[in-house]
Amino acid sequence: MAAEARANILNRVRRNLAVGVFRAGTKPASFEMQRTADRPNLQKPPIEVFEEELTLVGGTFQRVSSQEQLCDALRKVCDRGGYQNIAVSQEPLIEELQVAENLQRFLTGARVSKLNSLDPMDELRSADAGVTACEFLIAETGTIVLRSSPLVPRSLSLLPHAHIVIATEEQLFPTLVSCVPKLQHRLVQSPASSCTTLVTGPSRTADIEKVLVRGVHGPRELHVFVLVKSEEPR
Amino acid sequence: MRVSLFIPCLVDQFYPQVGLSTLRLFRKLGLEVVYPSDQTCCGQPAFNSGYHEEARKLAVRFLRIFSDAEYIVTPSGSCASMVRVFYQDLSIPADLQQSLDRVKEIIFELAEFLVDILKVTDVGAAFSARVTYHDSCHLLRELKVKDPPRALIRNVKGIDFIEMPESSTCCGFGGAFSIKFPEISTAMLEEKVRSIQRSGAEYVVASDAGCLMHIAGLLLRSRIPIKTLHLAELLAVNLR
Amino acid sequence: MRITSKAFKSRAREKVLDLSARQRYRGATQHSVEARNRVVQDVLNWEELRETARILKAQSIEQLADLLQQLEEHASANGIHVHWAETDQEACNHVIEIARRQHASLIVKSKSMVSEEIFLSHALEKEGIETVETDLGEFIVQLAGELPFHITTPAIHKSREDIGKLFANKLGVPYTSEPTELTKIAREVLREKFLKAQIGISGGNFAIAETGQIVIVENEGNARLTITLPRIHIAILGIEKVIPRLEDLSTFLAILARSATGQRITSYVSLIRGPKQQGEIDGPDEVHLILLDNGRSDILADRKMREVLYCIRCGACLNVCPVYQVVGGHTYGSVYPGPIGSAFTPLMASLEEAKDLPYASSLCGRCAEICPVKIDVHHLLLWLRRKAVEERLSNLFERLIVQLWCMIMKNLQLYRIASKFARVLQAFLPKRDSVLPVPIWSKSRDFPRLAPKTFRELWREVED
Repeated sequence: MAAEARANILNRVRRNLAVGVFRAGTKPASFEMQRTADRPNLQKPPIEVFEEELTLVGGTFQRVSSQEQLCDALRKVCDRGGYQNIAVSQEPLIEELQVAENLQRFLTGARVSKLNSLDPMDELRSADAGVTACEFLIAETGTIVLRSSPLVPRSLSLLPHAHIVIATEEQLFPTLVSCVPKLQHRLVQSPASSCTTLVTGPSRTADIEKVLVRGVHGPRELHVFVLVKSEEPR
Repeated sequence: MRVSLFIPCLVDQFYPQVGLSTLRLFRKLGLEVVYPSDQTCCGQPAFNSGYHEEARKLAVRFLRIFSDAEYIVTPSGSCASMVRVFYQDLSIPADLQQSLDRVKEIIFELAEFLVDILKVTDVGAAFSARVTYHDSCHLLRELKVKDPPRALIRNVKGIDFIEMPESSTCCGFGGAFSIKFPEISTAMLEEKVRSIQRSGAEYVVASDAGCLMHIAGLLLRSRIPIKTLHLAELLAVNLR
Repeated sequence: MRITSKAFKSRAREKVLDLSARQRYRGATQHSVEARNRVVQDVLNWEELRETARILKAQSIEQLADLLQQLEEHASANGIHVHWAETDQEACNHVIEIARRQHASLIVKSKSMVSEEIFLSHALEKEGIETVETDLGEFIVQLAGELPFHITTPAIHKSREDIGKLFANKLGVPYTSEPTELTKIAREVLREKFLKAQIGISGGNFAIAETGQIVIVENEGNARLTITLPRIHIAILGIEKVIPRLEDLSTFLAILARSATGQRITSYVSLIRGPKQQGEIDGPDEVHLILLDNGRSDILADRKMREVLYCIRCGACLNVCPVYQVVGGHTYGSVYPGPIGSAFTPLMASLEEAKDLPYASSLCGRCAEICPVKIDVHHLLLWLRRKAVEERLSNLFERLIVQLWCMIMKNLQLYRIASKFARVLQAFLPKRDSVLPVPIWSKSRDFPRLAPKTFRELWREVED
């Protein structure tokens, strides 16, 4: 029965399309989409564009040039946010920068978890802030690209009230179009990932009288820290 | 230059002065004007209601009457667009195909003819009043005519031209739509009249008699002292 | 597709009289249009972008069978179970089968027009399974027992006070009308559901043939939760949603958010590749993709109507439609309202049931002007009017009038006689303020009297 539906649908589609083409084939299939010339800001350095765009959609941005600066800035954000329960991913960059260790040392009273307990989902459910790295950043829209993996679960950037991202300048791409090849490459890489997510700003809705409210189902705060000048973290 | 006048049925029956104004305008500009007196209707009312057969018969008749014209000009965006844009959907018989291809190239609404073909934006008109302009849907979106009427209005001596908010929003006429869905049509018209009032104009000018008839319908009913004026009338009333 | 469009006229009449509601729709739609215009102005080659999007959609539809096969191949290779459903009933059956296997008692749903098209919640209710809408707007209309009002803002017709009362009644929470507070309440209530549900059902904005991925765009995050927390994820997509390549996505993402919500891009775009992979902590154990036909393949037989399948459900045509602005979404009696809905609904249900919809338009053309994939929506409505006449759906009286009118217009003698006759009749009517009382029109507007002489007669005088 299942096979029948499939055959019926495909046959009907083919048969009905055969009555003739409708205005489809005037341009070659490999027509290249012209990059949208979005505002003059694309002339600026990508990192500035990223900062502008991220801020416009309600995220915060900070440039840091050393591990100390990063940890300092992270602490301040966590302090200000009053986060009691911080979950941190085990991605290479996060480990290198010793983010979890630093936060635990300086944020007395807060619980910092690396999701390596027996029930990581339980930790994720009770976290009020989640710290991740990312695949890459897209300047033109202030977007962060996340790829699910054993080291970074999807819920980490989704369940808590705040999502904190740590990235390096090398991860910055100017436009969405420019990172498509990278996305395609990642698709066939191992380990396989179940889901890639483009995050642009906090969760939001305007369903009630068109009033903008942040933090509906996803995080209401998004903080991005970008490590510049490829300085080796000590 | 010889211009064949195509007069919409609404103008013929209700607003003949619009036709006379158009005539005066062309005479003043030194054009030879012909009025093929066999003409009746382009067929749009039938077409818009889905009656292709009836529309086709009238289209065929139209093409036969206007086949030897040099230019065809009509003071109506909707009639011009019917011929230029929609006649090709009517399965015109093969022997008239060439005629159709030709007529599509030579038929114009009044404002676009004056500005784009005759390259005239100042016809020597004069009218001292504050006026606003309503963009008829067919003229604006089928024929893509937006600036020519405005250019012509701006050059009228003594005119105070002011744009209304939402000038390109439909007035709610839509031909048979106005009697098939009278409540919706009237509600849309109410919004349009509100926009006109907000402009502070004494006159509202448009290039389509249908729109003007609809707008006047509510202005009069509500006893609002704003008057409607066809573009042709505005341009011809005090020709120097 | 089940619709109640036959009542369009009577509903429209009612809605038009509700002035405060009209003001609310206008405000909301205007807000959306302004946001859209602002963000489109930034794009110097917007028209090129539209044209590219249109070509991509056209090519996708023209190659539909091949793309669907490719999609199935690649999605299956990634562990997605692909199901095909010819009708709404079949699609519901697929879902119910999966739900039974899982002994599911709670399902969370993210926004999916297709799921409403197939009446899924009704079918699940009969099974005794609790289904919860998680998109804030959909959650609200579900609580209220109503159809969504608009494609992207389903509850925009409700004031904050309405929603406050609704929540107090149905959720037993203290009354508040503050949007932030209301949103918080919804977040907490729904978070519980997400954590408990066995199955998450979503729609999908695109399905990529080349990679087998399902793409979901959203702002709230409820779709991300729906496709991540429950053990089973079911995505239901109309077959017209398939696009060829991953790179095509950048074109569609660029136009979709701009047209729908006036954003450069939505807060979240999820590209689903498959179920939880080895070592991953979260993600569904099973991902199912249901490809729904339900009449779409039939639409392909009409070459002109095919472009109705290009629609990416942005809702922009609703926002600019002067008719929609006056009557609102519920009047159409269909899951798909507004201009595109007026073209789609008669094709998916039947022209007979929905025959008012193609006529409920002044054909102003704003819809076609704003459509990001350049669908000639109003021309499609004209085409459907032609079909209505061909299928003899118009009433006899109208047909006779049109034929009589045509007879007169074809014959100059008859036209002249009719002109004279009309003026004779007019002379008998009371002359009052140069107004002619005519049926229907004169109820709300004045109608002009016929001019004493026609242009033709005056021309003759001028010439002589």
